[in-house]
Amino acid sequence: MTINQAELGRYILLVEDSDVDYETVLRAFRKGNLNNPVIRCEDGDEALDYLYRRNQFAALGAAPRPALVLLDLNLPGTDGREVLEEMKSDEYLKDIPVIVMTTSSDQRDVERCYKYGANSYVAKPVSFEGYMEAVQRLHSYWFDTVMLPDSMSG
Amino acid sequence: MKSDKQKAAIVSVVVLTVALCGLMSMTLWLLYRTTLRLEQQRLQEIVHSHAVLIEEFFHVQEQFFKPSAGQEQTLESVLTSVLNSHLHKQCFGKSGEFLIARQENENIIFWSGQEHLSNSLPLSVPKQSSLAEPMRLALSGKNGTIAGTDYRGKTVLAAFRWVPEMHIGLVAKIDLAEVRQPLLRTTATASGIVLLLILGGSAVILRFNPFLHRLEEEKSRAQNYLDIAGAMIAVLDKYGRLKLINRQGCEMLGGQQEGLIGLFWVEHCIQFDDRQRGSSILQLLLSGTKEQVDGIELQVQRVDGTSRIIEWSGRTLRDRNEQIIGVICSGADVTERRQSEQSLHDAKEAFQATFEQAAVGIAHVAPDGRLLRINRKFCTILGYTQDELLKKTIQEITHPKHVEHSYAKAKELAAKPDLTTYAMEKQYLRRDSSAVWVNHTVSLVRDGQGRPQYYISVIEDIQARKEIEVALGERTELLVRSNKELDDFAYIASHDLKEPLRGIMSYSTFILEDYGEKLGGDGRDRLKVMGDLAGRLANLTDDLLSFSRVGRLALACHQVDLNQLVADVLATLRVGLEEDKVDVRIPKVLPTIVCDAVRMREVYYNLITNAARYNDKEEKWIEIGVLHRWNDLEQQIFYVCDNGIGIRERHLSKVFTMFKRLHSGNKYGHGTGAGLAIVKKIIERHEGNIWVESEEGEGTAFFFTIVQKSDCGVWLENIADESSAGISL
Repeated sequence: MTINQAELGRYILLVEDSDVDYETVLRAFRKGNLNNPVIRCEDGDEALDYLYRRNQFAALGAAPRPALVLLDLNLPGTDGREVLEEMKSDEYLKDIPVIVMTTSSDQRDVERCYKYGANSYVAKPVSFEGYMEAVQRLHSYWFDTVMLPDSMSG
Repeated sequence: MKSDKQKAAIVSVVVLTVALCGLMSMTLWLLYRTTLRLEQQRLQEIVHSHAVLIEEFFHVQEQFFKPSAGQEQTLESVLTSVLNSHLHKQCFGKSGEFLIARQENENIIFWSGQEHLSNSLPLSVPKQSSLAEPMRLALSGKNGTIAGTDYRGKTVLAAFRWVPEMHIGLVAKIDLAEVRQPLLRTTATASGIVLLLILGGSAVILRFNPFLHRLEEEKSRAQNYLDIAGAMIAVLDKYGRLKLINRQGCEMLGGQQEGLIGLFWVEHCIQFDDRQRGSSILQLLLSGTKEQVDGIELQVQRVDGTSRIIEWSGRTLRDRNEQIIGVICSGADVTERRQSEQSLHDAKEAFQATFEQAAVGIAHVAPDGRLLRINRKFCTILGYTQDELLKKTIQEITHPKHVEHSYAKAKELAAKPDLTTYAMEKQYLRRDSSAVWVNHTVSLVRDGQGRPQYYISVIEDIQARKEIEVALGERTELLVRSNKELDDFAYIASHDLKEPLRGIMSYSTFILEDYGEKLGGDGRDRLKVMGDLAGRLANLTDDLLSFSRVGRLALACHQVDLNQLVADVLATLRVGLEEDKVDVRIPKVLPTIVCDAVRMREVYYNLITNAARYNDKEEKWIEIGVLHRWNDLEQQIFYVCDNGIGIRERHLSKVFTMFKRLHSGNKYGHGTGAGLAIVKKIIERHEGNIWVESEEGEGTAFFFTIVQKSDCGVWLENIADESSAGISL
């Protein structure tokens, strides 16, 4: 993976085991002309390795710090909740906004994620149209509306 | 006391008077008798001397002056001489008279007399008359004295004598009245003097006699001593009569001293039941068998009929010669003491009975843990005998795992005077070493200085309850587990089933986008339907989850303004309602009710949505309101009605069935058929009812009631929440 300096601070880490969801996100980005580089991790362990730059991400520049994390909850192995918990209890990682995107609309999950410090909780719309709209809105909010901390390049 | 004194004085005066009068009368009578005898003697001497004189004079006349003139003449001359000599002589006394008479034929002829006869001599009195009694006796030849009637008819004392030679009777007489007169005078004088003496004497005795006064003073001093004594004091004479009683005694008996003195003590003052005993005790004292008795309890009978319990002491009284003259006794009123003793005794008995019969185990425990007293139930619960338990300490019979806590609690109770009791559930060890659960309530009894005396430990056997609790706990756990499984199932249904659905939908979209042209119109349509079906399945899954959640989640009930709630729902639906031109009517202001606002919103959302959806009229309307039952104004009936398509009667019972749809998916929008089932469940969770009335083609009305209470949220979920707090998903 090559790092484009101009794109630093625009990386999105998508933690998603479902290929179709990954494709949906990509399609949504494409349709919305959003050109943020999207890095995909398929499970929680991989996501943590990436964030801590371990194993295959240990090489310098192999894992640019993401500006945003889109996190699915139900993942094989280490699941999204654990990833969220670990990220939010780590001094270095806790200022990265985490948007939970999951199929679960269970209130207990919602409460729990916010308690751990999730920045948003989005239930995945069932239809592709809904999904696409949600992704575009999120992008517009997090990249065009709000200000993010400057330490993203660290 | 005064009247007593007076009485005594009067009696003594009367006795004295009677005695003196008697003595005087006797003296006077004797004197009278003597006077009479002396007078009689004198009169006899006079008559005798006169007779002798007359006889001698007659003899002389006969011898010396020859009886020439006959005997008659001689006699006459003699008598004349005698009489003449008498004429000038006051012979004896004022009424004294010397009489000579002779019988002629049947008449007594008086020849001589003094003053009374001098003018009318000779006087003749018929012999047959009762007059001239002495002369009659004389003329009948008798001599003697008599008290009789004279020729005047007056009673006289007379001496009479017959002079046989001359055939004449002589009488010397004096009026009895004259003889009596000096005597009567003497009597009067003497009586007067005696009376004066008596009166004076009594007065002096009564008023001035110092001896009597000293006696009186002694008595009153004694009475005073008796009166100031705290106890009742009575003195009885040797017959058992009350001689003296002090003030307390009178008060105790409720009578006056005057009325009590002289009464037979036992018969009058001792209560009937105790009379025999009282009598025998008194006899013991009066007979000298006992000199003193103490602590005798006898009930006295008061004047008003009530009785008091008196504790008596008695002692014999003896005179100078050691003879028993009576009994002195003192008594203290112990009625109240006896009564309080009795009530104490009763209270003790009552306590004992309560203690023993109590359905809970009770033990009195010393501060060091020794068991002081225990009741039967306590022994039963622990399976010991009373004697065995009394040798134990509370620590020994407490289950080891509770000893420390119990000890700390007891210590806390002793240390904090404002803490009166504590209760805990703990286990005791039975005799067979098995443990028994008891509900243990302990209070501390302190003495007057606030020092702990003993603990009152009340135990209630809750072994059975504990066992039930354990069983219930297991049951609850089971329920919680099955609930969780159900939950997990719902979760899986909502998440894991949905994910592939979304995949299907997404891919059908991708295919449409990427290969749409290659598929052709028919292919595109079918792929679209496939996506729609997958979407419907996703909706069904969501509703299923929602439905199952209504049954399990706790309600959060608060005061809710229905107007606000309905307004919120209408705001959400506004766009759709305006599009369909539905007129929403709320004829009356809605009430504020206690319910779970979120769920209630869901109810109205579903009902309003349905009402708007199933309507094919030109002018659609929905009415939202509340009714009251005619016989129960408290009972509110909420309703949502419409002028929609209505429901066929045979479908009315099915409208609340889960996923039951009455119309095909294409007609009237895409419902899942879960809405009314969820509504019904929510209403039931509010302990209410929901029912529907409808006329096909005319409209439908849904009615529901709820029970408004703030603790409606207590549900199985709470228990599940507590016990599954740590469950991670």
